[in-house]
Amino acid sequence: MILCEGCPDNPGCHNCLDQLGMGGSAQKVIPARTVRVTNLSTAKVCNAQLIAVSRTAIGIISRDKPLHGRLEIELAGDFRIIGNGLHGIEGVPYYVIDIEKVLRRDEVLGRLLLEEFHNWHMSGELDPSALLNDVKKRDGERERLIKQELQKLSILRQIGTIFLYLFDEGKLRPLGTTRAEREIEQEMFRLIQNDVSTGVSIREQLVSEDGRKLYEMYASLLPDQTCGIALIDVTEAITEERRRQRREWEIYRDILGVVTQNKLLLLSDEELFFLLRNGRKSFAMDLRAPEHLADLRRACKRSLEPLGLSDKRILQFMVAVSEAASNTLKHGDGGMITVYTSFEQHMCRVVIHDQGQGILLEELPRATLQQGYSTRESLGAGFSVMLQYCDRVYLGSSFAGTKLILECVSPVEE
Amino acid sequence: MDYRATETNGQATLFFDGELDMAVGDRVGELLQQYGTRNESVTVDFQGVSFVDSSGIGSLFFTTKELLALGKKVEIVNVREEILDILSVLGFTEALGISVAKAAETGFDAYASDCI
Repeated sequence: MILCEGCPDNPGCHNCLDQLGMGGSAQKVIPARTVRVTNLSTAKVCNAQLIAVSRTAIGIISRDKPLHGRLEIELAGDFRIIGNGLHGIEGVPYYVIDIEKVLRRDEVLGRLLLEEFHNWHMSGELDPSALLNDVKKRDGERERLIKQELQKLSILRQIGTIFLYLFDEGKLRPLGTTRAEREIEQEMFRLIQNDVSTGVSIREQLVSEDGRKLYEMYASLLPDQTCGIALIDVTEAITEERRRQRREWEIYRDILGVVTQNKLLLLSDEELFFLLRNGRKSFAMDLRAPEHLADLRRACKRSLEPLGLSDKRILQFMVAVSEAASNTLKHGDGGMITVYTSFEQHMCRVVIHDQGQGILLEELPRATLQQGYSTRESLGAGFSVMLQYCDRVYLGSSFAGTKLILECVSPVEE
Repeated sequence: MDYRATETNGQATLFFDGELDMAVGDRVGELLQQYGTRNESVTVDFQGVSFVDSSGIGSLFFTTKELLALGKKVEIVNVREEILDILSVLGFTEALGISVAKAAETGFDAYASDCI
């Protein structure tokens, strides 16, 4: 069918405009705009094409439904025209709607302001259905929504590398040009596929195959029932956080060392390992009940005897060992006690390893130096006794538990 | 850890023998509480005590404090030198301000003994 002699490509054709009956003041709408038409008598709704406008009437092509009677034409959510529809051109589904009123934002007008109409038309202000039909624009909106979700995660605000993805109809595709490694995308796909049906947000950490990159994945359902995914490279952030923790740990180590005149030293697990390599393991006991404390002391005493220490010195060291061992029972389920002796170095080291929650770094000064800090049925004097009765105390504490090494050195005879 | 106790004219004496650690700490405190409640004065004899740590005398410490607050008299006697040194490091005697010395001889009217 030839509509209006080739409209809109034929500028010489004015059939549609002639039907509006406004002479030269009517104008074509190029390109035509999709509008939603509601028949106010029947409440039936259809989409149609707006192709011509004048101050008092508009021209619409409607192939599916005839537009007769009182109609509401929705150009946008806040731009509607109420009018009466009449058939326009014979043999063509073209209808003329005489404007009764124009509803534009908060205003109600009796006619269409053509200049405002063209401003609206050229501004790209689109109705929601047009937005949903435009994939690129829809992706832009999704990108905005995902970033909006990310704002809820304050920790991620300072992170630069963010990959955005969309999970739609069982497929994962990137929003934008940058994307993560293939293995990470595969892992992400697996996680989303499993969990998206639950309807809850997902937060997971993913590690690259070579273990060098760490990603934080955050997936959230979007209003259009797709799933937006943000993949954040947190490798640098984590590395920086570890550096910060290490610096903080070193400060505590230095302060505790100075305050105790290097009697109490914080050590890393690696340093503790190298420290113990020098000695020979002479005894080990898995301490689980207070009733075993006496056996532990007797066994330790036997290990110490060859070092030639005085009875008083041995008793004092046993008090320190008993304090440390009792702590593992007070704050957890006990621990492993291992005794190392080194006759070459004239020393004995007792390692008390518990797998409790560890001591928080910020609590270390009070836990180790402040008498009476303990809230349990003891004098809270455990650490001060250890510092008093040992030649040196080494401490390594993490979420994996606490390792305490009590060192007793035998005086070397000249 | 063993103990025995005597009571006469409102005066109790508790004799402890052995090692005071976490395994017996609560029991030591309970005994002092028990004898301290029904007597005006309690003497704790440490002659037979060969080991103490903070968990072993923690309960003894808090019970002594409670009895002193009630106006009772508590003293620890016959403490070995090396044990006295440990009590001092633990801050036991200074915090309570009680007498820690050799006990005077006492007459025994009642007698109790047990193993903790």
